[in-house]
Amino acid sequence: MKLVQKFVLFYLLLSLIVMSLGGVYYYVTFTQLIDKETDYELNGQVNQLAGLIKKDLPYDSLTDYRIDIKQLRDTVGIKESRSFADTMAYHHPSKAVIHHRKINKTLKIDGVWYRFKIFESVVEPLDTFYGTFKATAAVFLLLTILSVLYSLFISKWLLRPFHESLNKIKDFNVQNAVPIVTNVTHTYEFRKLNDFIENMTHRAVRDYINLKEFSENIAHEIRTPLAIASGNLDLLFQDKDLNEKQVEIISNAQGALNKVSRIQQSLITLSKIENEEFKRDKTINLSEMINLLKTEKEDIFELKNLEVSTSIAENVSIQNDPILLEILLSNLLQNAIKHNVENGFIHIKLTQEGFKISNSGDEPSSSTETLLGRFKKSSSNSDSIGLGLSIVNKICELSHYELSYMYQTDNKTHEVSILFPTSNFAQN
Amino acid sequence: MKVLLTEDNKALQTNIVTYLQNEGIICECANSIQECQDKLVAFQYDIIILDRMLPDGDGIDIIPFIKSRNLSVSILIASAKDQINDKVDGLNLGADDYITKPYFMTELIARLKALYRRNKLDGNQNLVLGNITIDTDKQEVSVHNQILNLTKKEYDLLVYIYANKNRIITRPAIAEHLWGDYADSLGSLDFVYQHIKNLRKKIISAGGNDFIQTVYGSGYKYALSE
Repeated sequence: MKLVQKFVLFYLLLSLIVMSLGGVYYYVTFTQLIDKETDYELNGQVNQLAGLIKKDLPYDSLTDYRIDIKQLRDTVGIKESRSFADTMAYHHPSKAVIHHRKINKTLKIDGVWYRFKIFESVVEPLDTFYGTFKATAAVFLLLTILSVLYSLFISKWLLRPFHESLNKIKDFNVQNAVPIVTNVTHTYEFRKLNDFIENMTHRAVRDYINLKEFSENIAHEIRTPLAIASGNLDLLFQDKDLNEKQVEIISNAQGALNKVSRIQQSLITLSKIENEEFKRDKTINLSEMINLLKTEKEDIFELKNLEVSTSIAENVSIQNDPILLEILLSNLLQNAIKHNVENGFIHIKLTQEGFKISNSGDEPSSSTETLLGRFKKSSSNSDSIGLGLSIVNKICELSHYELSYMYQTDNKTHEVSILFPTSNFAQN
Repeated sequence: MKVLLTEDNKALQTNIVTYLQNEGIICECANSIQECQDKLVAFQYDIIILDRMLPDGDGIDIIPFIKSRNLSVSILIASAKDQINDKVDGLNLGADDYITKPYFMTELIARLKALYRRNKLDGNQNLVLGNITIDTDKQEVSVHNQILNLTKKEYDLLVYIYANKNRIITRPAIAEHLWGDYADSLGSLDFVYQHIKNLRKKIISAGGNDFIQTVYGSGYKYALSE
């Protein structure tokens, strides 16, 4: 539910309570007012009648269907009194028993006691109730209609700065390195919100750039010391007086250095892909590329005793950067070789729609999903640096390919498939 | 062989110079593009090793300078930029080969020797290891004039060992030379051992010398018992 709808709903609920109480108050005040006015009128009539009696008009000539005057004989302990009451009585003009107001007044005129009873028809309480109810309901209805219209139109206008900022946040991507610039608004709350958004995105972008530069610099700067260390080890290795233990130590150190340099190269590749330093505008014959790669690596398949089968559709062409595609295929193939088993198999399939490489191998210790992340690797192979698949993932993201990686437990097969977007095909 | 090394890092300079000197290669150094151009004009070199990131610019900017003066020097680019497009840039400008940091010294020597052979000796010099002859032009190996049936990798391995015949070559260096990035996916360096074993068997069965010696199980050394 939208905020403005909630606002209106609560507002209407509050109005309903206030108006109901107001209606009751109107009703009570209204009926009291009527009674008071009627009583005043009745009292006046009695006084008028008393005046006529004083002028010696026979009192019984003054009575009619609603005026009743009686002379009182039994006057022991009698006092002048006046009382009003609600009563039901027959109303001649409307020929019905309706609500009346009645005065009952005892008065002494020229030493004679009289009792006056006069009826006056008044508005039915039910009518009063209906009247006030109708008026209140009408006002409430009007309020509801206006509130709904308000929520539809005015609020849209009022909340526009908020929605604009919201859309900008939605489109914000720290990798684009463009902080959000919000529109000017005169609403205090939105102004504060916008200030916050601008500051926050500025900081996020700055931090992101710093971090990126830092890791890129590290990756670059680390190379020269690596080369020095590796060169020194090479020199040391040529020493004639080394014993076996020392040679082993040097060998291990060299192995570790190699690993660092592989990580460093992969990180540079990753950041290059992220920085979109590749122009993906060449038409590449993927069928040829895969066939070539397969022929080139034949000796490795043989060494590892892998059975390699392919089903490659001819002349599958795709628009991309040849280097990126080579990195992609090469990484996938390297993985298929590395994470294979003795006498295992690799199957490569290429169709117009996509590419799939499957290979035998042990079950990965972590989920295939997490293996796409950086430095995530199946612990069974410690030689791995854990960046190959994340490079593949990045290339697919950049090229809008759909990448999926599955492990089928029943036939122990890793399956990496890539779906090309249909629009990416080169037109021959 | 006389080499000019452009490299602004002193430690790395000393490193390479020492290694090359041990190999009998004369190596001089230049710290910047400016210094490199001065030396190229003043002296004669067989090969120039170009670093890409120099204090006063990109090393490949020297290539047009070399080409415009018709200097007969082979160009080997060695740099921290390892991306294939950088490599292509350099080769397109007229560099002869490309090597990426960090590299094994044995790899550098193999590249230098191959360049020297190709450009200075017109590539048709036969390499001789005792009674084994390597024809680098036809890429053939023969023993007693009988041509051996070697695979491409076995041939590469033999040339690599020949180029480093005074050095100990480590297994990782051989693996990287033969398989590049894929060396890692092989997982085990036993394959190097297997290749060496096969090569040795083929040569010995043809009557060739046993030319190679294992050093402490982690390296190999060219050794001709004469």
